[in-house]
Amino acid sequence: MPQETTTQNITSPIADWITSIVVGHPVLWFFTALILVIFIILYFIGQTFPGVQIVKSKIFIPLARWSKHRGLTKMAIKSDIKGHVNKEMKELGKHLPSGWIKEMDLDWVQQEDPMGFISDDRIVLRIRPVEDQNRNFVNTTYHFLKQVMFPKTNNVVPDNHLEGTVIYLCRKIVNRRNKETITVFEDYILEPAIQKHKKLLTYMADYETIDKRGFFTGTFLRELHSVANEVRFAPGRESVGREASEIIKHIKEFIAKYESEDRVIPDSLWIKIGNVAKYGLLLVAHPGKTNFGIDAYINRAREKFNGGANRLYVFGTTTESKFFNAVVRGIEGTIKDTELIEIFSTPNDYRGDTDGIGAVFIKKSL
Amino acid sequence: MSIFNKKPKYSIKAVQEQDLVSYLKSIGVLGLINSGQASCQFCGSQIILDTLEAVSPKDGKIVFICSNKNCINQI
Repeated sequence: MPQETTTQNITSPIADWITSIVVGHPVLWFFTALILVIFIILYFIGQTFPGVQIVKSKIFIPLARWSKHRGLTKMAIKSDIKGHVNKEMKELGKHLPSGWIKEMDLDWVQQEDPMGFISDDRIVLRIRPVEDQNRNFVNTTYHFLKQVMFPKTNNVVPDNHLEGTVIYLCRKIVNRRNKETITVFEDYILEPAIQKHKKLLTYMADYETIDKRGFFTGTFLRELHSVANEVRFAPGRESVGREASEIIKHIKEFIAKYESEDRVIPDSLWIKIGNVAKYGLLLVAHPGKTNFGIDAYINRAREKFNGGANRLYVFGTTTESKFFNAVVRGIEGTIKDTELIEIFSTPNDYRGDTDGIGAVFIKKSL
Repeated sequence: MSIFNKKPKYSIKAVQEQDLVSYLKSIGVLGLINSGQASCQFCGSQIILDTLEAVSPKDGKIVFICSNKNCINQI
């Protein structure tokens, strides 16, 4: 077998050389292997926890600025953007409908053939030097949100609401960074968007009003997505903009009544029956404030579905989450032909306190 | 996706400043930019290397987006 002999002749001296070095320097090789294992573990932890990417970026950004090394710069930029964006997305993902928020990755491209670029059908963003990292962060966050918001319905949701919701959420994220990032966001994203969509500031003020009570992500985005999904291939497709305005108007009226002195919300505001948007609202109060336990809530939930609602949004407070869960389980186990599709968090509860909890039920026929 | 992380990912394609020229050459558009024949998809202004913000495939062609604030916003 001449071929085997040749392979043996080539590999044997190399193998012997490696063996002699390893055997000759056992401590050195032990630590090299240990460092390699630690590096692999850190790599996997870094992929899982955005905070590790942020720490990594804090180490590598000054090094990249100093050395101007291409590989180091790429690593620093990627860690900073990935770490910060994914940290914020993790938080935002708790409030948005399940499946909307994916983990972001930055895919560096160096060479590509033209046909491959076209068939891949993805935009390629220019990433500026590390000194311009605020601009990189703002552009990437905005672009990422634009891609992930309203999956499959982003062509049905009107541009002004699509742009408005992306910019509203982008601003919330950017506001947590630093003054320079906020300025870049205002100059490059917000101002041009306001010039393009004249109603944007009104929309954003409305989003803020309903967000303060947990209804922006809790009801508005979910209902708008459901409405757009329902009419995606139906004649009502053009009416989504009107439906969106009506949902906002309804929630604002509901909040205004809740905030009024007597806090009496008329029966007509607990349910919204539009052309497509048909939903009910249920606020779970402190168990001490209700004489009938969960039964009163189950009855009210049933009334909403009997009244024509296709979806029911139940809201509670995190301080009373046990009672909220009991109500949700009670509805789930009692009202036939409905289905609990999601339990989610809201940035604020309906009382206006930080952190709330919500659930969505739908009619099974949908 | 790592073995610890089952979350679906969305990858943003990005080109670093130092790789920009070679990347544009590889997709066959560097000549267009250098000869002044490339224009912004949104505002129509001439694209030069300094003003290029993104390249995008559209209807089987390659289009350019400039760094004008009003155009970045439309990506």
